[in-house]
Amino acid sequence: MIRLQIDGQTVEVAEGTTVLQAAKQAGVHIPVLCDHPALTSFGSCRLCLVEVEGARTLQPSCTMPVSQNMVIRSKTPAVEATRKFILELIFSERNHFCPFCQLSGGDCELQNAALEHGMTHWPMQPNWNDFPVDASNTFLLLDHNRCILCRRCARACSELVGMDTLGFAERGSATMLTADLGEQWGMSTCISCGTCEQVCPTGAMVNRFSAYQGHKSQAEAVPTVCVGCGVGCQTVVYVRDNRVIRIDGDFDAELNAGVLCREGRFEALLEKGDRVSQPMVRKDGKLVPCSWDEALSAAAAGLKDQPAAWASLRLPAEALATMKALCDAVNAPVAMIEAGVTGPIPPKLGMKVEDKLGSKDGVLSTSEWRGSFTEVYNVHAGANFKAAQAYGLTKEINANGKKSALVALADEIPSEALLDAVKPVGKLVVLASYKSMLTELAEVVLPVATWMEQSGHYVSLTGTVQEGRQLVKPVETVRSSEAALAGLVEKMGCSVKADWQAVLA
Amino acid sequence: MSKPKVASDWLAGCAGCHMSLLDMDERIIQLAEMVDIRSTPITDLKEPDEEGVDVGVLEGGINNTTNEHVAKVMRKRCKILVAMGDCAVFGGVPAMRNLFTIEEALKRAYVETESTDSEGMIPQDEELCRPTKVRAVHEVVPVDIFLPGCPPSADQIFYVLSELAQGRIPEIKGDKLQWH
Repeated sequence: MIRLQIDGQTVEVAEGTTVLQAAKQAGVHIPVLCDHPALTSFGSCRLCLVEVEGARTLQPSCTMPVSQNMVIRSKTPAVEATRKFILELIFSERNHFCPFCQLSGGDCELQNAALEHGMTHWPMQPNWNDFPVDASNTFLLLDHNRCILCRRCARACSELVGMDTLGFAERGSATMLTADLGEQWGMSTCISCGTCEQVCPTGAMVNRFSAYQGHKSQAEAVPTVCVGCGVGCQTVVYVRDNRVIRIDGDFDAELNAGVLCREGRFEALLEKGDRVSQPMVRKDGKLVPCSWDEALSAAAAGLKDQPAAWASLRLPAEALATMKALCDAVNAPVAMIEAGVTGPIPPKLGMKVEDKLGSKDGVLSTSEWRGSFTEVYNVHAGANFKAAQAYGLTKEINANGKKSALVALADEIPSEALLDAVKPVGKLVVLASYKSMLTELAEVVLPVATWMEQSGHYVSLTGTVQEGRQLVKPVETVRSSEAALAGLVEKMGCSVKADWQAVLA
Repeated sequence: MSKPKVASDWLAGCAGCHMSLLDMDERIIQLAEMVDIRSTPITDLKEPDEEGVDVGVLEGGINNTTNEHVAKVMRKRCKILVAMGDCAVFGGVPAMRNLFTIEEALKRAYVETESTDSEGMIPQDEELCRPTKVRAVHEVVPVDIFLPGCPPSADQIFYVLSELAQGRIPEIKGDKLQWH
């Protein structure tokens, strides 16, 4: 152990700890811009400079390892003045006018640092060089005018994601962030996982799905789990006024460690079509809105006749267990609704999953991606694939001779394969969030919650049981799939005991 | 002792800072009791007294020769100069113009705008002021107190003016310091 003194406090830390980490352990706040807890130290912004007794100049605490009996002072007038001067230099370099930046007002680490240091103005005005804006990426926008060259993005791209798409060209004040070797971002090897944007301390990188929706600092941060595929990445979802405004990766998560993929970070926020907002039954060939009671009665009557069933793997374990128990009671085989292929999954994340599984296990595959040197992963299993397996759902069922079907589609869009499988079966009861080809065919449609409107458990490919939290409230007439299925159980008068945990344990 | 005199003026800005000043509601009566409000864009007197005022407040950046003149007169006639709002402090939104040449900006404004008819022309009268690069007030005259914000809140403005009225120099920090 190394003993050192920081601002008069004595701390003992392990060898190899940086002064910044030691200060954090001692509860001493040192401001940073380029440093990030999930990334290797780099030392480019110099904001974390501290006085080290015996050293000729101020030293960056983020890259300086501790040594025995070191004496650190982090708040001397010289340190404060230097930090302020560093901020002045950063602000003079490019266009950092706050009124026209969406991060201004709490979410910008650069602005927060300036306010923390009592900067009321810029003694050196900017030099008015115009930097380009790269708007070629569908999910992200890059405004070089706001870039402070801290390289968090490039380090994340390399260290966390494993793509090495982002890098830096030129030197000194001519330094520019580039994708590949100066390629347009949207044309580059970027997989749009968005990890770079999550670590960007300024407004240089803009998440097109979350920009101008509200500040992270003023939203409720809910830890939950991604239901995009079976990997089960842990996320932090920002909710404001019953709206999900942003999905971030959770840096404390053991498996994904802050990283998400394009689907988990961006596409999960998309509505997949018009919502089914009311229960509906078919009368005279037309679907007409009705009460839940009427719809459940019609569904129960319809399913009396030799049913078969299909269930989405995006359903929580609770709903899947209820579904399976109900189907067992009425002697109906249940198939998993095959999730499409999810990807590209960041190579480093994919490798971790593969390591944990011991092999690709039939659920992972790798593919080349736009001529990059690394292969990206694809996942061929839905969020609750493992739970569905444990409950005895099968990939395919023989629906020959079946006369009715229960499809718990939830917030999925039905594939051609599913439509083909379901069509020959007669009466169709569908639990769906969105209107689709399948709801068009149905006799009864029950409106159910999307992934963000319900809570429940998910079993990841690597076997971890994780809780997905309800993030927003649906409209009154929409129920969770679990509640809808429970209602159906009651109407069908079966005695069903569904214990989602028992089988998994 | 007579009440301290305060004058203000409005340069290249949107008047939002003065709107924010008025947003202090009934506290403006309290302020009027503490200080003698002289020339402002919202009072009849249009220039600070020749014999001088105690506090001068400028909103907006400096984007032409008239702004320059007004700023210099204000500086000469006041003891303490306050730059109020992001435009006065940093250049603000008008300073986006600096990314283009003045010729480009004038052409865009007077000739190329969608609503301009075919005779669009750039005003050339010698009596008119000349546009310049947009600058923060402190790039033209020394500033004593910087009050950033877009706009600074009524609370911040009241705090600064009431502190000055009571002979104290306001400290712009903590919740009194905002940029956006």
